[in-house]
Parts: sequence; C-alpha cells; structure tokens
Amino acid sequence: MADYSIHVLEYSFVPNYHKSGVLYGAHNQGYVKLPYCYVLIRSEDHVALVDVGYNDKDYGKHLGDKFGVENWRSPKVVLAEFGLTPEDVDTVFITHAHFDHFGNVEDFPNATFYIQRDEIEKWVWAMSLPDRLRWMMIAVDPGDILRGVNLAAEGRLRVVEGSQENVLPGIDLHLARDSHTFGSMWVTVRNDGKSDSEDTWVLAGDLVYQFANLKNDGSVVGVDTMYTPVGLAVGSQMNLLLATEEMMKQVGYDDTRVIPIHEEGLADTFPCRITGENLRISEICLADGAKSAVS
Amino acid sequence: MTSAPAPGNGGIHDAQCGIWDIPDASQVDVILDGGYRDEAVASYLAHASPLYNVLSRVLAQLSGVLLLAMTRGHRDLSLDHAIYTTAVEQLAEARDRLRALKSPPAAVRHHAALQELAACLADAAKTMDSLSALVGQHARDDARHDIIRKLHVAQRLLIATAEPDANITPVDFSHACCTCGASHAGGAAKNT
Repeated sequence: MADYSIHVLEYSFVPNYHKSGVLYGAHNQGYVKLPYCYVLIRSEDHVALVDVGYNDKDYGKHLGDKFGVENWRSPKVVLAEFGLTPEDVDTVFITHAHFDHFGNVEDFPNATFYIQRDEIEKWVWAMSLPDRLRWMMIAVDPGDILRGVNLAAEGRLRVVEGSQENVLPGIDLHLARDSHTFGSMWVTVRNDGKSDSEDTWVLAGDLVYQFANLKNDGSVVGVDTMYTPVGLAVGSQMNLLLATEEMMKQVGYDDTRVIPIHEEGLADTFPCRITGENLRISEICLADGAKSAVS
Repeated sequence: MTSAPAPGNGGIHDAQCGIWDIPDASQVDVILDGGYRDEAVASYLAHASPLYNVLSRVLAQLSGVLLLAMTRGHRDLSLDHAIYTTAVEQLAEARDRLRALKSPPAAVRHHAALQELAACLADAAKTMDSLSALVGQHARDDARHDIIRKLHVAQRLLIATAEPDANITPVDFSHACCTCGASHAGGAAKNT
C-alpha cells in the first residue's frame, strides 16, 4: 500500500556549477549541471511540496539573469504537467531558507508552510553579526524573511522545533541542526503509513545534493564507498555526515531512497521524462491507483 | 531628486508613490543617471555600499524578530531584545553615516531613496518596540499590520536602490548551490 506519489520537478538549472560545491573536496574537477527542483508529494487528500523554488518576478530575475540560471519556469507551468495549479498546494515543507528553496512562497496562496525555528532564529542572529562574519549570511534574501512574516500574519506558517511526526499522515519532519544551514530539515515519507515502515522515502533538501554524497569513492581511506558531504556547510561537515547516517538508517541503508534534488542522475535511477519546457520530471514512486506522469 | 516631504499624517510615502519617481524593480539600473565610469558616482557608490548592506541586514533582522515573536505564542508579541537592540543600533549608525554622505548630482535620487529606506526601517522599529505595551488584540493587530506595511515599503526601496555591479545587492549569491553558477558566469568577482 502506497499513500503518496512523489515526483521531483525541475524548474530551472545552472548548466555549469563547480563540482567542489556539490562534493566536498572535489577541487579542480570541473563543472556539473545543477538542476533546481522541488518535490511534489500527492495523495488523495493532500498536495504538498518540499520547497518552492525562487521568485523570478522581482529581484530574483535580475540576479538569475546575471548569474546564469537558465530556463526558469513558474510553478504554474511546472505543476500544469500534473493538472495542478499552485492554488491546489495545501502544504509546503521548507528544508532551509536559501533563496532557491524558500524564495517563491507568494505563488502558493493556500498553502501552510513548515520551517524549523532554528533556521529562522540563527539566520536572524547571523544578520546581526559584524561584516567580517558575513559568510554566515550568504544566500538568504531579506525579502524572503519578510515574506515569512506575511505567512505568519496570515496564520500559514508553522515553526517546527526539532522532529515532528505525522505532520501529514505518514510524513515526518527532521532537524539537521548546524549542518548545510543552521536549521536544515529533511522530510521522511512513510508511504505505507506504518510507524515501522517498509516503504520509506527521504527527501533530503540540500543535506544531500547528489547521490555521490551518499556513495562516493572511499579508496582514499581504504573502503569501497563512503559518505562525502556537500561543499557548503554553515554548520559542520560532521553534522552533515551524521544527518546522512540518520537519513540512510531511516531507509534501511538503501541509497536510492534518499532523494537529492540537485541530481541530474535521478534519470538513471527513476523513470523520467523531459517536458515541453525542457525540464525533467522524475517519478520516485506512485500511490496505489495513481497513473504514471512520465510514461 | 530632493527628499520628498512626508505625507500629512507624518508617515512615510509608499515605495510605489509617484512622489519618489523611483523605477520599478525591473528598471533598477536606471536609478543612477550616467554610469559607474563617472568618478564621483563611483566614489559615492563605494561609500554607499556598506551602508546599503547594513540596511539590508536590519530589514532581515527586524523581519526575523517580528516573525519569531508572531510564531512564539498566539498572543505573545514580545521581542528578542538582544537582536532588536543590535538592529536598532546598527540602523542609527547607518542613518548618521548616510546623512553625512555626499552625493553627486547623478546620485541624488539614489541617496534620497536610501535615506527614505533607513527612515522607514526606523519607523518600523519604533512601532515594534511599542508592541508589547499595547493593550488589546485590536491595537496589537493594527500595530503589527503597520509594521509589516513599513517593512514592505523598505523592501521595495531596497530593491529599487540595488546596484549589483557596484556590489550593492540585497543577497550575497557568491557561494554554494545558491550562487547560480556565479563564478562561472563571470558575475562573482563583483560580489565577493
């Protein structure tokens, strides 16, 4: 029994992103394509997203154009592939406050948003620090925090403290404190609804960019494979690895069940198709009775 | 442009108000007449850049403090005063330095808009400080609404005064997955 269909939806991409940003220590190893995606989780009762991408309407477009983000498409266009509109989305889980994950809340007028309190509190604290510590403030748009205020004023923001089970039936939230960001969160879907699930998927946010973070060459330390953290940690690489271990433990160490969203190689593991907008849809799993969106 | 007079009620003109004649976000680059090749403009921007950064961060801090207060308890709007106080102190210092900043004719509008942005933030901060003392849900809701409106005006002004090529930008995109490939696209050098 599977309650949810899960799809990774590409909404834009960077054609040439330095590999060392994706994989810690991969210096001078060139560039990789970096898809920008959010995740659609859909059941008979709910339409949920993990992250919402960034806003291309105002300053986001200016910067996107400047820095080489290509082929940005709105949630309206991306979700239309499923016969959905942004208004249909009732729940959004924000894995962290970077602009490409948290920057487009305005497009989802009916959704309730979940984010970790640590993520907000420590960003705000970091903003108060002197310029010499500015590295800790990267990639957060003050406008996004203000949009969070709007959500709170409308009663559509839920601030999570640590782990929270069954936010939606069978869906749990988990905190990876001081890792990629101050309060990064991953989303666990127990797709059979059981507390001791045999059908678990982990949606990793940016705690894992690509499968290589789960299964990198370990020959340098004499093992076949080893976890290797992503290239950016405002917290620590140690905390990234410990979060990775926890995520992997939840899926019984099946590394195809921890889903990275900046991974072009999803196509090698899951059924997928390229839309008319030249964006990829990857089908992670289907709910009982649901039709494939990629075949 | 000279600094616009405040509206009759003592508040601050909305960012979209015609009195400012500030271009919308899609035209942010034209707020400065001429370009960065003008030595006086370049000098002005070099001095304005750190002040802009402070204002951007103060906006984030005030927004964040308000957000945390609003999500802490259903009627508790008390502020985190350590962060609030830091933000207010940083803002006061930035306002002083902005007032002292000399702007060439081509940058007068930009300078005025930055000062308006700072004034708007100060006004929002002042109202925030009064939140916990307000009696009655209606009064608190009105004050909260007023703060949010002012913060939005500040945000519009922040976007309107951005000059990314002069390192005046509300977001540092120079690292990690959120860089949008900045280093490879040639944009990072001006933002690091």
